[in-house]
Amino acid sequence: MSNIRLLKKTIVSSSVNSVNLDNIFSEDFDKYIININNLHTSSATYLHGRVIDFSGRSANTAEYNYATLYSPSTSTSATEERGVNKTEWESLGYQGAGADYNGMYNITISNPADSTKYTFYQSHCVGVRSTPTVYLWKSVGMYSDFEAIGGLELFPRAGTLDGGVFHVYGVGRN
Amino acid sequence: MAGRLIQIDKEEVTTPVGEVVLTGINTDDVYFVTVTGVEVSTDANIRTRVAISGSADTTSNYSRAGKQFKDNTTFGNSTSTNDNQWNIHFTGGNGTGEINNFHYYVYNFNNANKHSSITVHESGLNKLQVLTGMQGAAIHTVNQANDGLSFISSAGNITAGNFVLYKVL
Repeated sequence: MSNIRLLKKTIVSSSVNSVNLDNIFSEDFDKYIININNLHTSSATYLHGRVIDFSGRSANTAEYNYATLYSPSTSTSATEERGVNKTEWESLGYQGAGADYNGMYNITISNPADSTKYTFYQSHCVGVRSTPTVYLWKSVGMYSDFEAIGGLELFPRAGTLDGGVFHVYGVGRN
Repeated sequence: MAGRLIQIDKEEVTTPVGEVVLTGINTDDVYFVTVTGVEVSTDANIRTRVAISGSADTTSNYSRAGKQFKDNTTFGNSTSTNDNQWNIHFTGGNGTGEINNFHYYVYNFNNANKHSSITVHESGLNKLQVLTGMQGAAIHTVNQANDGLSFISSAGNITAGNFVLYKVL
């Protein structure tokens, strides 16, 4: 028997403004893995995120912190980005626009349904855009509210989400 | 992530302890360690060692390389060689919300002819209330078989946290 459980699969096959991965977090798990394959966006852009509470509300309070490091294959250096008290996580990853350019994500979420702890993420993204250029994208983030949350809203900084397959897994501790 | 995770060992800390040990690595498969909600009794960080027959190896054969992500300033480089433990975690404290969450992929612990190594993925809140996360790698520079991992706090006790070891199949 495996200790990793598929909780949700969502497929985006037409243009949408955002994807709500709701009702995925519970007290059954304290660690979750979200895999996104072949994320397509209408423009070359960042992937943003917000938490969704158990009433289905996407929280836009200024309680989001993040720190990101990315490096394109066309450069010999890496770039840092960071933010505190934002109204959303602004840098989960990045991908180009067009059929040949996409983003692949592995995002880990810790403690989302625990109202005694803040919620943290770690994101590892491989983003492809024109040239082609591949981007290594690493990011950590925190939602600094002792609020149990039930899910995530994911959306692009600009334009629409045009495709992608989202899998959410719970990592069992019992 | 491969097809299955098989839980090998777990420790749920709810009262203060000086050390947590996860054991049961006895094959050449990749292993996966998840640790969530770690709290410590004072302003301190988690330290990690390999375990032999369930006991921490305290010899000076631990090296690391990585980047400390921070939400308030330029990221720090984290490198060192020949330590007596892996100093690979930089979050935690005893203030409000100060906890550590991390996971490792674990390689070659069962192989007596290779160095044991891990990849490190951390995010948490440090003692200065700064979002921090070590992203890096660490190696134990001895050809020996190890069967687990030991965790201590650099000062005081570990007071909370879920520590779980999985085999990846």
